[in-house]
Amino acid sequence: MGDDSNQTDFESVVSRRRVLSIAGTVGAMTLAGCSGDSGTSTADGNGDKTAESGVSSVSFVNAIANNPVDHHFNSAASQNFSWAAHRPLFAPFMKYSFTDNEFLLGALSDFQIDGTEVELTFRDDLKWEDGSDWTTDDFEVQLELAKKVENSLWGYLDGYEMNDEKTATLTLSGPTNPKIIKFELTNYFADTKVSTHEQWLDKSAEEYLQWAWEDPVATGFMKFVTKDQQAFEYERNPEFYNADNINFETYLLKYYEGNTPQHQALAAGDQVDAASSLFTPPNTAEQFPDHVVEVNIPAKWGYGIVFNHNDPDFGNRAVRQAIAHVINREELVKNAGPRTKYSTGTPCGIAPRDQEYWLADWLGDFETYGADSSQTDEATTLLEDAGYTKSSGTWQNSNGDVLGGNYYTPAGWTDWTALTNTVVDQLNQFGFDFQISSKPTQDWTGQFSNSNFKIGALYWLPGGSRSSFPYFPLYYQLWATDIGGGHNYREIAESEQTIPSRDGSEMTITPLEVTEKIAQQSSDDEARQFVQQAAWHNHIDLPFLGLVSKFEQSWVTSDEWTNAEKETTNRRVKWPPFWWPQQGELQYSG
Amino acid sequence: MQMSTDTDVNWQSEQTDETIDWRDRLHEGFVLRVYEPALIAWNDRRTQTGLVIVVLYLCMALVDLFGLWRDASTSQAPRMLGAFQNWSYPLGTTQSGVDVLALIIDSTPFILQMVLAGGVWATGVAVIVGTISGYKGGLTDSVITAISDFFMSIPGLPLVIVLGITLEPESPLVLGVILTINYWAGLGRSIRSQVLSIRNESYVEASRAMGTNTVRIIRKDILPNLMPYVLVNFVFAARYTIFAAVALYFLGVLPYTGQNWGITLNYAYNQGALFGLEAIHWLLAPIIAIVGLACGLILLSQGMDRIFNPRVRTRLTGESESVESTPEHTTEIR
Repeated sequence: MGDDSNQTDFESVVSRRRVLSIAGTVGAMTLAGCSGDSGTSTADGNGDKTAESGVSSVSFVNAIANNPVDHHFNSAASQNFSWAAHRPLFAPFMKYSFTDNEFLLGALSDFQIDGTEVELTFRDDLKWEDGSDWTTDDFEVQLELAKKVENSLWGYLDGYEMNDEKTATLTLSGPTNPKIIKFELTNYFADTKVSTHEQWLDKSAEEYLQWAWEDPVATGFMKFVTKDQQAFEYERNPEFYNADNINFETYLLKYYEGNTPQHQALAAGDQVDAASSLFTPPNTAEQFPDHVVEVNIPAKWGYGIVFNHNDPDFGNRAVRQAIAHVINREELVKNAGPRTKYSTGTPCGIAPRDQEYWLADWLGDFETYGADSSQTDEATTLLEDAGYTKSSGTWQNSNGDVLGGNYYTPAGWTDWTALTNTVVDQLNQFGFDFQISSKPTQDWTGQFSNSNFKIGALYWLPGGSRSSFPYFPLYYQLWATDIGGGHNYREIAESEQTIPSRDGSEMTITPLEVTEKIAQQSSDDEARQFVQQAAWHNHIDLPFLGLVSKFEQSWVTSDEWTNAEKETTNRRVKWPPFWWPQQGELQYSG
Repeated sequence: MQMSTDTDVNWQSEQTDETIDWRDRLHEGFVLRVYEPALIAWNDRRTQTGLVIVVLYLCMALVDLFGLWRDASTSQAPRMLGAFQNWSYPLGTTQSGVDVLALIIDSTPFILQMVLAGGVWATGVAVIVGTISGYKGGLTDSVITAISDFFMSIPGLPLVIVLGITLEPESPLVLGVILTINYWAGLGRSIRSQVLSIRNESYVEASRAMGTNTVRIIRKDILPNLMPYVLVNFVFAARYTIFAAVALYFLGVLPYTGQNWGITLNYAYNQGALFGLEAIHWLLAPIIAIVGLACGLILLSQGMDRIFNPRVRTRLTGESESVESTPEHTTEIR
């Protein structure tokens, strides 16, 4: 399914380690702004409006960093799916607004949950580009294929029933928080047609995952025309349910190789009209013309550290806590981009700006590990108590082995490089002995998937709107689906752990069990106690070390196009160049 | 002393009572091999300039080795200082507060080792392969030529990228070898052509007639004639190594564990140094370092060419006046 944040989000696809590794890589790159779906379009054409429809013959140009020739439209595929190319073509079931923290309906007209039954009602005017109705027959094929590839939605479902052509009932396997189902459905689009997809029902998941879909049939605001080495080209889809909102004729996803060419295109002012997700350093952003508008959306994703819990040193809680104490997180933010990054208040597996809401009166008891300082005294005490000694300025274990090794980080991720340099400098100044090992993205995640590491940089939140709900990030840290559990924490997560409690005594907890209970509660208030317990365990034992989170930088232009107003519901929905046109918030005004 | 007969030819010189001790031999060797070549080379401004530049880089390497300048580290300075704004950080600082001069100095030993390894590997293998192939001929030549053809047909850049990712070289010496992994093939072929010509010279024929072994002939008669060409190509290989390394680091295809000029360039580029002048120092510093070393090596090689130029050497010893008006020959730099 096409993920709301990244097409190949890890939990949502397949369980095989290899495939997950690939999916994780692609997803990570997308979230990091490395996959380059940034769109800019200059209003090509003469701007004439056709008499009947008021549609101008102009193109909206959105920049991407995926070569169209190499990419396709099968959102379930493990490789070479272009999430940006998919977005204009298919109506999303629902979206999440970070402005109001609410779900917005797209292809769905109603969502009701009653006990273990979820009733989905789809729009009557949801149609395919050929004029035929989208029906629940299409949805049935979609659900069956999702089951085949072990999509995460099926982790909560026992079955389904199609009531009529536009309504369906999903049967949950147990009490489930409605938010979880809603977040799962933000990854679903009306992109599965019986006539194009039923052929895969009788074939293996591997075959389906390798299918490169090249001739998509649209339900979204655009329909596919062609692609070449320069661009994906689309034209207006008059069958789209909100077609009246689309007042321009064509949509181009123009290919730029890397971030800098996209920066140059935006700086030129007249080459592109948008860039969906593009990390832009402050001094570069300052060079953009005034009509290039930055839209910051919480990414719920960011830089953290993953440990190999089978390692004799980094599997030791005291060492992990010492590392947390040493790292000055505010310094990381200053070095890597203060405009778009922020540090986490306490590394507890919950997205930074959601901690206050979920932890409530527990928050004050959480150890912060020093967000804006390097707490070397605390770190020294922890290491000494754990039997480590410092010799010639370097920490050693009882066998005389130095505390250090390769610190793996992805090559070419600009902001992550600055973060890694800062982290390693801080740790080495304290007495660790790390060397940065920068690897191409695939090799970097492969290192973790194969458990061939001690420590490395990895995102500590799964990303996307669902990371707002603590169950997803807490589960992600325990299970590390993206790296196939290569951090070796799954066994620990399933077993009873003894940790210090809030009052200083000891408590026992089975982390996975408590985390799964979050998903089973019907409201936030009921879920809160389990969130607090799971987060408490997380911040003590540190399966991951969360350091910073970031805003996703999306770029649009206002010289010839309308934009959603600040603080409005649609303003902060991923991704503006794809969602705003559907809502009439992005129209040609030249 | 052995007496000759009328029919035999005595190749030995007459014995004299004059004895040469080791000091004289050492002095003579020094004059012949060091002083005179140095004098010849130093008479050329290109050598002087090249030497000064290369020595400067060596000094930078020593500064790093002896810890005479701070190590590059994040948050060690105010962020984004321009060049020459603060003399504690003369080349300015980066977005992460790293002293740019420290970055350049930190990288110098790594780069010099890599360049040396690349140059020695490429020219060393080429000389061995080219001379043996050209001098021996026959089956040896055919086999070596076939192997060279194979290596010449492999696309260099993809091979280097694959090897870099597979072997993950951390040592600059290994990296230098990998970057010039098939550079020797083309150079070896050129050297072979020259050897084919030299082997038919009368003095080589004479050595062979005297029964001198192959290794000695190659070492004494053939290699000295190749040295100018070899030296110039050593510099080309070294320059290629710098450029290849920087390009691949810049593109992010080589794994790395430390700082070097290519990585610095990459950071600067990605942090928007192309936009505006605020970060231009960050971009220019590694570029100047790269270009400076390449220029220094080229100038040095041009000057070194004079050492092996018989006309220039003859002029120095005053044995020929006829060369006075002869234009100096220098190897053309491509």
